[in-house]
Amino acid sequence: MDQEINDLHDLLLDPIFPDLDIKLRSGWHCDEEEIEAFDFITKTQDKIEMFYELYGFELLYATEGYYYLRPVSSKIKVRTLGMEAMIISQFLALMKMDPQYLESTGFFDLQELMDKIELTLGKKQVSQLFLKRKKYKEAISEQDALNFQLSVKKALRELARYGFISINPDFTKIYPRKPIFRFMDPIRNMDNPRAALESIVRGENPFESNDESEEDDD
Amino acid sequence: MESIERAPSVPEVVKKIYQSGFKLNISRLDAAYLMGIHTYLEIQQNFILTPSELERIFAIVNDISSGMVESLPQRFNHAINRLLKNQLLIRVDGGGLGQMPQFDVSALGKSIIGHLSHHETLNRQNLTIIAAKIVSTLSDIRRSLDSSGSDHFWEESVRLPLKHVVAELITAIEKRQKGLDLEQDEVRNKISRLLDKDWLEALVACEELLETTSTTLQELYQTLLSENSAIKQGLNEISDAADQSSQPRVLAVIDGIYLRLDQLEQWGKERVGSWSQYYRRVNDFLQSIVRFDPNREMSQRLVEQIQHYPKSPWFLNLLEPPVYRTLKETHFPGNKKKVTRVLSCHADIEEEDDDGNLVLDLMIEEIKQRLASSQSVDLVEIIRPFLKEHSLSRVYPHIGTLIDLVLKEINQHPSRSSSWEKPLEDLEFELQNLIADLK
Repeated sequence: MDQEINDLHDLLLDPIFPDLDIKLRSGWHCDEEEIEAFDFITKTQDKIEMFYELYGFELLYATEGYYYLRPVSSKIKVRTLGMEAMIISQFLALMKMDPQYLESTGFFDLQELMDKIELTLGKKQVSQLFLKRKKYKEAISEQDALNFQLSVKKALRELARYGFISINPDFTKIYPRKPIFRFMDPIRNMDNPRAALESIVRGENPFESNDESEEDDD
Repeated sequence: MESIERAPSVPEVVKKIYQSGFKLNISRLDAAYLMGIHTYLEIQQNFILTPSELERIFAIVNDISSGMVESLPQRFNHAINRLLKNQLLIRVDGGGLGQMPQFDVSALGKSIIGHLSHHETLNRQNLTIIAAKIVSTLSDIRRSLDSSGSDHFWEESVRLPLKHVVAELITAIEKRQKGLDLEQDEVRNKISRLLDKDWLEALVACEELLETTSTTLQELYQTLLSENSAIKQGLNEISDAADQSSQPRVLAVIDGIYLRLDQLEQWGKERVGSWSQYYRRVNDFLQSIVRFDPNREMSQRLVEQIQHYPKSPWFLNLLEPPVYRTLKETHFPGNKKKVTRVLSCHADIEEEDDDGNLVLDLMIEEIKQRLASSQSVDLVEIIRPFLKEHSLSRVYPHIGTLIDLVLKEINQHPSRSSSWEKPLEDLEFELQNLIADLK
């Protein structure tokens, strides 16, 4: 960003904006590791908010330090993240919270992730969720293991596209980024996770408290 | 014939060592004393120790181990005797006959020092001391360059000190690098353990540990850069003089030292870089996870959420990527070389053309005249004048008819040329000729 952004006209003419706009409209999450984009949004936040308001989007800044667009009108199309991606992202959030990974580079590999999923959910649920089996069978064939792996890889690619994680081509370095904490929204500062879940499903802002008592305190 | 010596068997070696009565019993105090002696030798670049030097070193050991000052001489004597008995220290004064005792560390002592040194870390103090010693050695060499000249001088007064003194001192820094690497790993491990054990209580301790290590590393790196620069400056002058005096052996040693100094700088840069990444990661962890979840309830809740997910799934809504419809660029084909050819459908049309039939009639007439006068029939020769006057599209469709006519009339096998001939040079048209010699 070479020039100062004073109004929407300046914003639209800035060479950084077109790429950023396409990515944000594609559901991308921008954290501090995207140095140029993050810096641009931070400096021009009010203009960007104004711009997206016209389209029925809301630019949100999460407390962990990342931006993303949330649709607030029905004229914008939304899509639902697949079940496999939902489960995997929650696991990645859990692993990111584990101090044991601090000692190393902060990366996980595919096998570590798959082991963790299998250990926590058990083979039966893995079979139902990832292999789409209604009937559980004890023996797991090589093909089943391969299908499980393919399913996890597909979900990881999807999460990487939205900026939740970074991955390398052979999945030996999976790095959950800050936006992965979006999957913790239902349990964030909530006494009632169910209510939080319902609010997320309704598409409400998870960082906005609806508690009247808090408003009174303010 | 030369006899091949047989390697001793395990029982033989075991028996030999057991019967020799060798035993090693080294206390914490003796190990510390040995390391003190080693460091003193390294700093002084000395290989022989006098009793007074040994006593001065022992005074430090005595002080640290809280030994009584009054009994220092006795304790010193006992310590020296123990080191000698354990063969960690040896006398190098020829048994001490009529001379002041002189000592050096034995091979066994050096092995133990090597083991203990592995854990010695590089810090600003020892780096400054070692670098100062290198700079001082280089200064001595530079001063002596005034009297330079003979090859013997370059070997004895320049190459050997560079190779053995300077290079050894750099080795001392490199050894400590490994120690620092190990120490950093330990700090990382400690931070993880602290967080795992105390979580929020560990926050302050971790932040302090991070800060201290970062400051130490930054200071060390800066010291490394400035000391390296001073050393390189000294080396430059020696290198110039060696170059002028054509001393390739000296230049080779200097090159080796340059390389190691560069590696040292690179190591420092990498360590600072890798630590700063780690620092950022841990800081993020402390700020966004530990502070955010002081009671460490979130992880447990998250595990529960995952376990209950199949029964009560929820999904995150994300923006559907928009489809941008773009106009496709039109690419026109480049100018291709035009090749004249006749499409069969067009040929049929041409046959009906009056002009085309006239050309055919003329060509048939020409052939018939040739046949009547028993001249040879050369297809290319016949069509060439027509091609000059008419377009190829008027002539080409009739070639087959002409060939049929010739074959029918001559009652013999005509000769065919294997090569392709061009009836006209400026026309992209070739055919295999047919010649019938009727003479």
